[in-house]
Amino acid sequence: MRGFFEWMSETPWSVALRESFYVWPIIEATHVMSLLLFVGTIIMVDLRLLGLNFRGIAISEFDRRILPLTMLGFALLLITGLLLFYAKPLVYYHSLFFRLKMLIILAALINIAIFHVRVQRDQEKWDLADKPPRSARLSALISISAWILVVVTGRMIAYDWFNCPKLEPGSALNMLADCPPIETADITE
Amino acid sequence: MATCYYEGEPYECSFTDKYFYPIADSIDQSPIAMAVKESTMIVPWAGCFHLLALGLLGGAIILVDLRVIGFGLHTQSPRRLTALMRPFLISAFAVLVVSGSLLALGEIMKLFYSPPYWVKMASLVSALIFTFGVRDSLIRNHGRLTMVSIGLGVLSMVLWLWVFYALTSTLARVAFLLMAAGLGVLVWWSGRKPDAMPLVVRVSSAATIALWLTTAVSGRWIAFW
Repeated sequence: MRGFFEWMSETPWSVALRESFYVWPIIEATHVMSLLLFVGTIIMVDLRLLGLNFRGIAISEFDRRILPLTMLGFALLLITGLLLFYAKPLVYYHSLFFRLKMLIILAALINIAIFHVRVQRDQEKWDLADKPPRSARLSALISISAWILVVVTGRMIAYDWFNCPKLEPGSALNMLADCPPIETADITE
Repeated sequence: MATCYYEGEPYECSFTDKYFYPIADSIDQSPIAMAVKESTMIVPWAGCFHLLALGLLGGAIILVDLRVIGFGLHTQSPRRLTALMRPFLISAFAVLVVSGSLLALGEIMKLFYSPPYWVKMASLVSALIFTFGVRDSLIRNHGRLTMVSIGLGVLSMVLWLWVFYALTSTLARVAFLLMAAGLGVLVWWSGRKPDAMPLVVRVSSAATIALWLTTAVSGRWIAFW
């Protein structure tokens, strides 16, 4: 896999993107601004499911009127995120925070799938409930915690505390980051 | 122009350098700024809280203002949504101020000479005045403008025009105009529905979104300058 990303980082568009004066910052800023739409709306949906706010408003109304905004936010985050990754594939490939972030996103997506397939099945019964059933509240709690962790790990990617050059060769973290042998370690920076 | 002194020798310097540089310098040398700069953890964690609070603020703004221009919980009145979102808006803002101050203490001298930082501060003050003084008043009074809200609206728009004037790059100005045009289209489009809010309320909600977005984008741009 590393070979593929190494090739990717040498493609002309990848080089142009990471060396660009304006384009990279614009994509990065768009990534951060999409967070307002995505995190902002998903927090509100989760708070409704937790029964902490929006009492008396049908959950199905959130599904129909708020979740499309959340999905738009996610689409923007995904597109800009892929472009950012494409610009510096090796940096992110070897970043432990990035890897952790991807795992948490995966967990959050599985949580969403379970919510849609299992928890939401009898939603008509509790659509207007001030306090939805335990399973729905648990889903919302997992969702809100996961997205908070995604933001935190995403921010921490910028810090190099656990980057390959700082990890002892042969250590567990070194292996988790799939660090290359020492002579090529500088390529990850 | 003013006269500054370096080791007793006079030299020409700007008004800002003479009167405001020493203030920035003394903040930069204060024990709390020193502590922030020496710590390896304060700035990263302040950055995380800043982002999370930004997301919460985004939600609190979006649920009200996109509702006014046609997207969102349409069974609820904007008035009720404003009341529901106010605690979130205020707490997100409080976290943003505390975490933002910590972030700033880590690089006071850089910020002193950073155009995006001052653009952000002006935009922030403008957004605050507009959100609480104009938008909330319009929604509360069903689109009727009070004298106070007109005054505050003019004040925040003057500040915002200064922001546009202060944007030094063509790129930033184009981005600013594109954002304004996009929101303008939304305002026009949302007016075609029979149950649309009055035009002045829709315009004020679009302006609220634009003001907070300007603040957030210029805030992000501090790092790129």
